Amino acid sequence: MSTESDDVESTIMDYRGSIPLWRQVSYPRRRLIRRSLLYVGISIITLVILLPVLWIIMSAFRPVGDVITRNPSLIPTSITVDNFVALFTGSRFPIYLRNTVIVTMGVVVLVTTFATLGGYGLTRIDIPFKRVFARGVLFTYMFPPVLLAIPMYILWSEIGMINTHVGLILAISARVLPFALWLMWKFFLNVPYSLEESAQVAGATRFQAFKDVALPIAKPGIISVAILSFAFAWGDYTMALILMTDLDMFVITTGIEASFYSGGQIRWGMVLSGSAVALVPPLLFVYFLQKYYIHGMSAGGAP
Amino acid sequence: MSEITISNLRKEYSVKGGVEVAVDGIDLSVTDGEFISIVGPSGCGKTTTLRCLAGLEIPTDGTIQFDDVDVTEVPANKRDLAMMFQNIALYPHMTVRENIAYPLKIDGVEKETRHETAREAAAIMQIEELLDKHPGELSGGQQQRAGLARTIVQDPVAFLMDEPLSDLDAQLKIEMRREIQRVHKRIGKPTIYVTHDQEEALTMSDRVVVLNDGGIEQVGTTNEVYNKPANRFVATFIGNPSINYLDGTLETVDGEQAVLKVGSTELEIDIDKEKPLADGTAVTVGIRPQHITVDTNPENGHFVGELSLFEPVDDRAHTTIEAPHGEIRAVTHANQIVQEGATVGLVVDKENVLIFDNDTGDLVARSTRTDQTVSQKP
Repeated sequence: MSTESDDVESTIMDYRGSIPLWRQVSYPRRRLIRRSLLYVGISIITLVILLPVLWIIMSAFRPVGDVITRNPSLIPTSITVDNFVALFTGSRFPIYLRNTVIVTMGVVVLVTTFATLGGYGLTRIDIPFKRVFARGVLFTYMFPPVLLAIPMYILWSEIGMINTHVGLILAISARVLPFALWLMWKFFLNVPYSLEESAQVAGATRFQAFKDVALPIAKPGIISVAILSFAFAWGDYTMALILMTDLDMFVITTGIEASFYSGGQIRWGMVLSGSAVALVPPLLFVYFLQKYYIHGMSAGGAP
Repeated sequence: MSEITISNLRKEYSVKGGVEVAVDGIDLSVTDGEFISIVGPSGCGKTTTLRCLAGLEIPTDGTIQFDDVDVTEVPANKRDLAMMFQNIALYPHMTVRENIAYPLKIDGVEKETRHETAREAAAIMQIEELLDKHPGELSGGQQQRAGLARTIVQDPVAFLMDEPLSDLDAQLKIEMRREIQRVHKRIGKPTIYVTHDQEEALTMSDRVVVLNDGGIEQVGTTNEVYNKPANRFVATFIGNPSINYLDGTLETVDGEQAVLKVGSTELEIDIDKEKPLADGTAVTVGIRPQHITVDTNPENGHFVGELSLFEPVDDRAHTTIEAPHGEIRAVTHANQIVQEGATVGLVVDKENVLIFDNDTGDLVARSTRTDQTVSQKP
């Protein structure tokens, strides 16, 4: 008996001896090491992303003198809201903000609606060459915006859409829609058609089946598209720069540049507070939609 | 009162390089309260037929009538049917209650009323406690029950079922089979049940429709398709393990008496003829494995062969015997232990011999049975 167990023991030792160090670490320890590495990685990434944001926000609340200094302090020594007061009372920023909000809302509504309907159509209706079309549409997304913006300027001015909200909404939508459409197409591919057929046999019209069954299941996709189009529209610079030439039609990105960089002198207090304000709506938008997004995933994820 | 009549139904699909015929001229009528199974191999057109009935496909040709109303071109939502899909098709974003009540919601039934009806239907299917769950939280069997509950709230003209049990394990299948029959009897509306599983078709149906290659091979009761298959296709498709075919000759046919020669063996049998037969006709003889007994004494059998495989199933065993005529399968008792490799005799049940035409494969005669009850060995 004893020789037999000795044999087993020595076999195990032989085996252990021939494999890498990692295998000799116990399972709980391995998990600990893996987790620690993961958290270190996440911390670094978070820091890289958040540091500029934090710097903007902290600096926006400092007197300009504290910003333009050779010895910047990490923690603000004095806090002030002067920058924000000046931003909203003494500059064109409220106009820029209004323009951005209008354009962004327009883009989100337009893109979400058309991507949803189009993506649904591409999966459910027999269209010749629809696969080629669905993939080809993605190709148009790869054009650099500057390449599109110049012909757009010529076209838009021909039809009198320069310096209009609708003009910019259409231009940005044209940029986002291909990818959004492709995303929704992929999403509806995963919604079994038999669910809608079942609804139809139960008495629903095709549109009712779409509304009651396909649409709620595709909700996570729709919200992804909404977030995507929001991000595009809110941060757009190129299109707005070329298509919105009137100072009263500038959006925040072009507006901050035009108003606060003027005359060779950069008004840092305005730039920073303007940027800080511009950060808030995307944060809120994503935060609130994310809840629905996760809810939609848990409802739609399990068939 | 509802009767469904399908006449000359035809469905073609255009595919690359031509036309594919999925359903090729089907005639069928289903009477009120009847349970009909459509059974056949994959791609035989059974699901397409059902989808035409449901209104999810428009037939290329032919008509579908509910009672005297032609519904061929009526869209699915106006046909007043209830259908169960292969994947059950419960809506994942709705609770079980909302799922069951959905057909009523479409009909504009008030929320209170439809939820009450949903609860009653759930009670019938014994899933009342699951009403507030989402389909994703249900087991396969519970989902089936919820799906079935959703069909019964509708008071439909007919029930259509498209392989609803194919994803369940064997035990649940049997359980759900009973549930479906219970619902069918309770509602008393025609049920058309599509399956590739002959066992489901044979156990549940009043009549079985055997479909092959878009056409009907035979319509009949379980007894008819099993004991009097119209042709070799039906004989092969129905029955497990599948039927044995032997080449034979009708030596003499004298009224109801015939002498059938298979190899060197002569079998004297009484036959029911489907059509006139001449002496000396070469035929295909079909004998089901259930109608062959293995005798350890080779002297006692009609045929002699070497037992090559003995597979116990439950209290039965499937055996394969290498005979001069080829491989013959027989079903025996599992406790009748026969050594593989032993030479055995095969005794043919002379009351269960099927005779098919060599060219067309149609049934031309079968042996007469003295008692008309289905005599199957265990």
